[in-house]
Amino acid sequence: MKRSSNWDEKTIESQLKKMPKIEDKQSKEALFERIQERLQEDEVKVRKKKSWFIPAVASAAVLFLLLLLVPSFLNETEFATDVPEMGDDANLMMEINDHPEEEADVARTEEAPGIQTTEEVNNGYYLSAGQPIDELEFSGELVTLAVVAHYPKGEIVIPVTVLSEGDNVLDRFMVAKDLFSGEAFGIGSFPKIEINSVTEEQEGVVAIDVPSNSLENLTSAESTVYSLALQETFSKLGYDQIQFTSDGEQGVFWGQHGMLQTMELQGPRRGYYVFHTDTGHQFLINGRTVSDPLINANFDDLSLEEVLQLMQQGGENSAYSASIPTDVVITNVEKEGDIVTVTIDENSIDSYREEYLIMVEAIMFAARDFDMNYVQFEGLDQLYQVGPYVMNEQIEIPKYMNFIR
Amino acid sequence: MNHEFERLYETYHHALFQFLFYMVRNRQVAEELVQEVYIKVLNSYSSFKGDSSEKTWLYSIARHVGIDWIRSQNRKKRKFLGVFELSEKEYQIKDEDPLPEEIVEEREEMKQVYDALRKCTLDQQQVIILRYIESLSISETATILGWSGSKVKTTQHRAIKALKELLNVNEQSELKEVGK
Repeated sequence: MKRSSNWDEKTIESQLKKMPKIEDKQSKEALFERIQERLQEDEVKVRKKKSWFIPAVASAAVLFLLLLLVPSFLNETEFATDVPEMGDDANLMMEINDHPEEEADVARTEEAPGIQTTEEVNNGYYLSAGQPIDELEFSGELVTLAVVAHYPKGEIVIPVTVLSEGDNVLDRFMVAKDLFSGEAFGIGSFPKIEINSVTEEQEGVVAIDVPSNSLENLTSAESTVYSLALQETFSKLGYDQIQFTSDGEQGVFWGQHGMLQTMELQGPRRGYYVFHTDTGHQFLINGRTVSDPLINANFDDLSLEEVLQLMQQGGENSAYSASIPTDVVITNVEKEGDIVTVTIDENSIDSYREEYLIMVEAIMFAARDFDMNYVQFEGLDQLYQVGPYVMNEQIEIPKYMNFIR
Repeated sequence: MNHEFERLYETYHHALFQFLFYMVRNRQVAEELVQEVYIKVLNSYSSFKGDSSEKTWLYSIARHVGIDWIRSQNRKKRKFLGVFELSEKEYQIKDEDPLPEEIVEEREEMKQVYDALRKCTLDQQQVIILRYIESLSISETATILGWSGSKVKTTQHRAIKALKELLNVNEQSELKEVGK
C-alpha cells in the first residue's frame, strides 16, 4: 500500500529509526575461522611485501663499498651544486649550478658503474598519497621523511612516506633515516646528518641533538640540502620549529652560517610540483624547495588561488613540471572554515587522464598548507572518480604524500 | 578462540555488521567486509591508544573498509561504463542488489525509504545510518567520521531534506503513472 499524503521530515525520521535490524548469519565460530585463514594469507603477503627491505639494505651496502672503492668513476661525473648563504630564518631555496667540487653527502646510486637497476625502473608511475585506510592498516608504521634526489643539474629534496619501526613518529624517523634508500625509485636517502636524539620539546617544537662540531664544516651545498631536508621532514610531521643542541649544549655550528639555535619550518607557501626521476617515477615536491625564479621570485605571501595559478606555470626545468595541466581552467577557489571548494571549468577537462590524479593531490596538499582539511572539487563530476577520490564528495585531505607502499 | 575477538564480537558485532550492511546494501559483501574489519582490528589493537572510545574506533575502521569497497566498485563501474558504453541508468538497473528479506518483509513505506537512501550522497548516507539506524550521538558520529559536530548536524539536516525530496518526487511520478 502506498502513502496517500506527502512525506514530511518527522515521518522520514521516524521511518529511519524503525529500519529493520540486520543480523549476520555467519556463526561466531565460522567467522573466527575465516578470519584466522585470512590473517594467515595476509601474513604470507606481508612477508612477500617486506622482502624488498633486506635486499635494499644489502644493495645500499654494496653501493657504498663501490663508492669507496671506485672513486675514479665518480670523479668523471659532472654534477654538483652551489647554493646561497643560509638566511637567518633558514627559509632557503636551492640554487642549482655546475660546481662539481660541492656536493652534499648523499648516497648516489644511479651513476655507480655496473649496478643493475630493478625491473621496476621501466614501469614508472606516480607515487600517490597514503589514504585513511592506509593509516589504519599501517597504524604505527608510517613516517614521512625527506630524501635527496639527483638530476643532471643538481639535487632536489623530496618528502616521501615509508613504513618504519618505532613507538612514535620520531623513533620511526630515526630508523627510516638510516635504513631507507629509494634507489629503485630513482631517489636517494635522507642526508647523512649525524643525530644523537630527536624528541618533542613541546607542541610544535622538535628538539634535535647532534654531536658537537659535526655540522661545522658543511659546504654551502650540504648546508642547503641538509636544512631543506630537515624542514621538509619535520614540517610534514607537524612541527613548526626545530631547537638544536650539540651534545646537550644549546645551539649547533651550522657550516658557514655559524651558530644556529632554532630553525623555523613554516616557509612561504608555493604549492607542489611533479619531479620525474630517471626511473620514470613521479613524486610531488614542495615549490619552496626549488630554485625556479618563476616559483620563488620573492618571499611574499600568496593566496591559495595564486599558488594554484603558480602550480600551472612553474617548472620549466626538465626535472620537474607543473602539477596542474595548463589546459585546466580553475574558475574559483573559495574557503569556508577548513573546507575549500575548487571550481574547475568542466569544458577544460578531457576524459580521464593520469595527470588528473597528480593535479587533485597537488591541489589538496597545497590547500593543506593553508590549514584546510577538506577539498570539494566542482566541475570534475564527469570524471566521477580520480584515483581513490570520488569527485562529488568533500574529500578529506590525506596526510601522507608520496607513499612508497 | 581469541579472547579479544570474543569480547569484541559479543559487544559490537551486530552493530558493526548492520552498519556495513546499510553502507554496502549487500549481505554477502557485508559478511566479507566485517571479516576485514576484525583483521584490521586484531592487527592494530596494540596500537589503539584510547584517544577515542573503542566503539568509535571500531566504527571508524568499519567505515573506512566500507568506503574503500564502495570506491573500488565505483572504479569498476567507471571501467565498465567506459568499455561497454552503457548509460549510467542502464548500469544502475544491472547494479541493484535484491532487497534483503528483512526489508522485503517490511511495509511499502520502509522499502521506499530504503531505496531513497541509496540515492543520497555517501556522506549523507553515513550520517543517516550512524544517527538513525545505529542510534549514535552527534559527538560519536563526528568522531567516527572525523568531522566537527556542526558538520554532522548540517549533513544530517541536508540528508533528511534530500530524502524528503526524493520520496515526494518518487510518489508524484508514481501517481502520474497511475493517471496515464
